[in-house]
Amino acid sequence: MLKNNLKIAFRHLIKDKYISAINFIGLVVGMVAVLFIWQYVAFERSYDKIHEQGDRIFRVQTDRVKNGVPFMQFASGAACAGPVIAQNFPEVEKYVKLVEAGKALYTYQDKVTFQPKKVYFAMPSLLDIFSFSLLEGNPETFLNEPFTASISESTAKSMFGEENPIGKIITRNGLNDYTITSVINDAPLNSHLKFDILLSYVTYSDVFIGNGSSETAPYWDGFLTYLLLKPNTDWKALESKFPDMLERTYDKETREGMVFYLQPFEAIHLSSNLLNETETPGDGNAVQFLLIIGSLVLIIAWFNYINLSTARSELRAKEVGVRKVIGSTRASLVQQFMTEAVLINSAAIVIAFLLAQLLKPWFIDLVEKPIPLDIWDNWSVLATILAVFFIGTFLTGLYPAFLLSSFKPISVLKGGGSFRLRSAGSGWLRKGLLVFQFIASIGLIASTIIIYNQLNFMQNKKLGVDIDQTLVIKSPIATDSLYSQKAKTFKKQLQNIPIVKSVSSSTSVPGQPFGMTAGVSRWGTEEGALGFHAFAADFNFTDVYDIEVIAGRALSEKQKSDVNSCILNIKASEVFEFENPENALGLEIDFWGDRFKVVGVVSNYHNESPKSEIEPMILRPINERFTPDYFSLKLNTSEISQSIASIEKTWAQIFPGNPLEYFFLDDHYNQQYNAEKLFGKIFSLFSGLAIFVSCLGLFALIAFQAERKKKEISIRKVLGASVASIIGLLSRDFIRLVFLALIITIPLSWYFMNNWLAGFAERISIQWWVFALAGLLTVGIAFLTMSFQSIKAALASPVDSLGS
Amino acid sequence: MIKLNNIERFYKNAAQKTWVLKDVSLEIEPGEFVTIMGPSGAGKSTLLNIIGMLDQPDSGTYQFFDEEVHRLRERKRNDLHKYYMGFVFQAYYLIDELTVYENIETPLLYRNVKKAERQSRIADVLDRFNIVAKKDLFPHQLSGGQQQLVGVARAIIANPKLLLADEPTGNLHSSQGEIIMDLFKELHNEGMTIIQVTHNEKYANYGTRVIELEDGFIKEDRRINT
Repeated sequence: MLKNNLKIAFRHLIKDKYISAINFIGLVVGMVAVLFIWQYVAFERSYDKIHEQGDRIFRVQTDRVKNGVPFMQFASGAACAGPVIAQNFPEVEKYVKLVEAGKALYTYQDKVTFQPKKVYFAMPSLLDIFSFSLLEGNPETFLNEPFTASISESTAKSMFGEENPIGKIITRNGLNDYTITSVINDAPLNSHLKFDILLSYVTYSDVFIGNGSSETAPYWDGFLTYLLLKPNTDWKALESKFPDMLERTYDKETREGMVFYLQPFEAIHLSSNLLNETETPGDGNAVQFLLIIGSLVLIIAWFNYINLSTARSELRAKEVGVRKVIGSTRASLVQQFMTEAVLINSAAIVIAFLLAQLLKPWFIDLVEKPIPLDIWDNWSVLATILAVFFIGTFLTGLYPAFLLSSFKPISVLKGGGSFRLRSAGSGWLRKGLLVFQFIASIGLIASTIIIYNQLNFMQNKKLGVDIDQTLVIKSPIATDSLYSQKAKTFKKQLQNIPIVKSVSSSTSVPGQPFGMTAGVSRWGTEEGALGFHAFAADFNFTDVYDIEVIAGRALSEKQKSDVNSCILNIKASEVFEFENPENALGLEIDFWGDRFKVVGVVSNYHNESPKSEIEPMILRPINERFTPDYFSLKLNTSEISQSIASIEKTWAQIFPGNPLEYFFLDDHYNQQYNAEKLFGKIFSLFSGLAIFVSCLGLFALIAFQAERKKKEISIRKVLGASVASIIGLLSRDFIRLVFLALIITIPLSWYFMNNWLAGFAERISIQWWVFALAGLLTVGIAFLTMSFQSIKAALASPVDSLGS
Repeated sequence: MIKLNNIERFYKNAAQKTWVLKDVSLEIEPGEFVTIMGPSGAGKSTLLNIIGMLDQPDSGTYQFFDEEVHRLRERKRNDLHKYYMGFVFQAYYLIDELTVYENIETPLLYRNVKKAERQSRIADVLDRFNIVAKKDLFPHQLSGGQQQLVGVARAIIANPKLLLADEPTGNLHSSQGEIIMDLFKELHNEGMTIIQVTHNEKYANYGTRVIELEDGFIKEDRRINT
């Protein structure tokens, strides 16, 4: 029986080869889409899931608040958070603090030089809280002494090869020696906390800081704090007790000036996007969108199958009748039709699987993620394949099978062939599925337009800062006590190069966070400190970058007192509660114990892309303590190949032994759009696939309709109908469905896209014409698809179909 | 074997009832070869379908051997149909995607007959109907007469007690038609009960009894002496 079923299924697939091909192609495309998207999503969702106590680990988020409104939210927050919370609440079993150690070169006996990406000062409790384990060394002595270090497995490999690193001494920036006491497992790719070297936290707290403030200061940010709560702790309840704790420990101002939140550890990658994240976080929204759209492609392919099978059922009705007469039960008919679905679905999944393997490198390139795409290792991907197969087979096979097997032989066999399917239900179903496909198509087209509009909007937005023709040179990694002086010399010599218009040095450049955050208060008051972003720059920074001065003046070399002057942006003057920026002039502030006078207020220029909120900013002069990290060169031309040699020569003279690293600022700035560009790219690709599969189905359905109405068309033509009216006859129903779909789509995509746009500080509003255009495009595409078949049917000679 | 009592079949629409069969009572014994005749629309096919359990009467009783068919559940009725009846259609109704061999084999598959037995039974029937050479062809590769031979072969392969034929020669040339009728006669002589619907007076004479229908009534029921 099975063999017979397979045989007849196979013959049917061959006989209706166009429909089979359309079903098959649709299914393969849909399955490949789902396989890719699901692997991508599975990877994004797999972040930080390896830690045994993961459900009890929380990160402390610190918000800086002014008048009840948070103006800065830190992933690595207040210095006091861990110690104070652990002291006050027995629910906290342990905590670990990590402080980023900053950019530095690590050397071993002058033989090995290594520039790690991520180095933290970390507490020994790291091992108790996370499931990281040591490959070498004793966990009991892990980072428990000053000037000890633990290096990651891969750091050990690249620094020491096969040698045992334990006991070796590495030197940081030629200044401090650390003894390696252990080798720790590499954090996996899907971990938001990654590190190459860990230095003992006591080195930082007891040796470098020494006064205990790193454990008590409420206004000092930059400390990653993770708590391990006791089992069954109500973390929301715990969170709500923090404000009281702050008031008890400090004072009322502190309570009002900052808020601690708990972030469930495993959710951080996709849900947290704060200041000083350890790495670019994932975008939970984007992941959702991609999951939906990837699944849409497959669902549309499934719907094609159902539509085409039910449409075809009239042709199969006779067979059903005959089989019933010669003794088939309904069950065996269902089996037979299911066999066809199984056959085509399994063929499609095999091909899709092979295609996915084949296209894997291309997909990795596309998403720019190091997705470990090994399907055999990943049970969730295997499970997806099985689920896609079984759901697909049942969804696509079962309905047509039951519809077909319900035919009564007497009604299908009567009179020999004038049978008409009178099942109203299937008509509604077919229309419903079609409307769904149109909704998907219109929605995807509209969303694609909106996404690209937003991207364009951001990229064409006036930034208030000139980033064109700007070459930025990074400061040398290894610096010495003479660096400040050397930097000045370097700057002077750069100005002698013909293509260089002007040079400014600074601790940060546009296109990235300012780098410093500081608690600043009015000079001589007892008021609590307010949080600001800050950076240091030369006096000519605002000139070089063409940043508009709204009130007062820019810093100037001619004003001797300007070493103690500073500049605010409008946002910062607002934080100081000046409605009019003019009034901020002359304000004296306490910046880490130094006294600065505000001499100018600049515009709220977009230091970061318009996606981010404008932050309150303080610009203070470069000095011995705040030495430049970047040299910004305004050029006369973007053609620099000639002059780069002279820049390199100057560099080598002043900073010998350091590699010259430089980039163009506009490229650097535009990197901020990478995530959105990537999202747009993937989104439009999969939208295209979904629309393609929809069109395939529509094409077949119209062909089928034309075939079925052949006789009617011929009769109408004999009666004098024009070609145009016949095309109208065939496409009218579909066009009507497109309009219905349009009406449903508008609120749906408006809602979803508004959600997406909510992630942007500066965003477009959704215009009505987007939907008009999307609807028009869909009608256009549908009409193109249909017109081929309709015209063919309309032009056919009536004699052919009426002859018999 | 078959006992019909006051069988009625009608269609209702808003205003009126249209009778297809009215007050049809009829008894058929095993071994009879009955021909149902009558003008178009007289209810011949409906009567045949009711006897063949493809259709139900609106009223009246139907006894098939010992079973009260009109009281049976659908499943049981399907079983009776499956194990006792074979059908031959005017338009042959072979399955296009199956070869001659496979078409004949299908009823046996539905009756779970073992492979070896299937092969020998099909070989017998192919041999008997002289279509061994055609066994791997598809229906569209055969003439109408050959297709109907396959249709008959398929109808009898499962050894039904009753063979029902709805204008089996209606689409055939007379020479082809005679071949089919000779075959029916032969089957009848071997003891098969046959009920056929035909317009052809000549073919009625192959049988033992003629029932004339007109407007849903039995107009005449006569025996033929052979």
